[in-house]
Amino acid sequence: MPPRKRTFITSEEQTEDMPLQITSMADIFVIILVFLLKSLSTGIVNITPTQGMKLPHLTTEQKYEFKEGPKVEVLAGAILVDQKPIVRLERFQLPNKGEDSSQENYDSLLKALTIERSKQKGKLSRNAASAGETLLMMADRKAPYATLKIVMNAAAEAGYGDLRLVVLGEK
Amino acid sequence: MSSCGNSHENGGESDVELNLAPVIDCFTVLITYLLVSTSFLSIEMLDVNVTVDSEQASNADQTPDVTLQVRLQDAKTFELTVTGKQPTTYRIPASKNGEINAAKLRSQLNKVKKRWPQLRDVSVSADPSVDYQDLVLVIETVKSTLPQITLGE
Repeated sequence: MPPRKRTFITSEEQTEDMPLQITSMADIFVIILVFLLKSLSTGIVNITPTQGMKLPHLTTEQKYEFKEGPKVEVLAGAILVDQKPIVRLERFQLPNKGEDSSQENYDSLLKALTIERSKQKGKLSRNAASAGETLLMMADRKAPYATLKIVMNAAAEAGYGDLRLVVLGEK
Repeated sequence: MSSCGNSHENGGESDVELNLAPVIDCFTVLITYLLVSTSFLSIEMLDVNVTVDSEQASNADQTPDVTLQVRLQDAKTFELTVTGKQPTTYRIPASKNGEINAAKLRSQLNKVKKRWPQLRDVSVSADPSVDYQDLVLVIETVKSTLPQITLGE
């Protein structure tokens, strides 16, 4: 037996106006709007990586504590402290111009980090024992450990004991 | 949300119907904007300690009984070195597809933790050419077992 065809066309023509029921649609939109507004990240810490930087990502959905502090960024072409270029890099490596040049680069990085630390200490509460000890490091996922080590050494020498590696996680 | 679309005729009062069409228009624009601008990735922070050589030398007398060092090598292999009364070294090869074997590292760390329950800190280091992404993966794996990480030479 062939299936019975269902049709929405009624035999009698409707004469009355059929107003569109958009109340339920408005309800759905409100729910979507609330969900989207909730998922907007509205944290205290403002972290915006420089354009072109690809942060490494986590593989698990662990949550870590956020802290505020100066930012150091390791890009393919430069090391930035508080978004100001301090050391020039060539494909994540320090330009090979001799030992003096490497020392000069390290010293300028150390100086920039020390200045940032003193600024941060002034901003934060004087009562906080760990004030000015946190440094946020944002590095491209392709950055080699050798370059990161230079930044970490300079950070440790400048007095930052707590290093925060900024990475991407899943929401 | 309630609707006021029902009409009531009470003593000559005129029908009042809420016009939801402009509200829907606003919602559509807002939702489109939010969908475009919302990022479904969040920013996370991995906390690690850094030490300078002078600090390490001054703390030499406070060295714990057992220390663990995890070193990530160029070939995505690991070397886990336990120092103390029973120094031991474990080697973890890369996985079959040449990637970091995080599962094996995690299970080995659990074994180490079970054998030396007093172990608290772990030092993580890598070869100079190791990518930051691989280092982050190692830190994340180690943190699940031993949360106190110091990045070393």
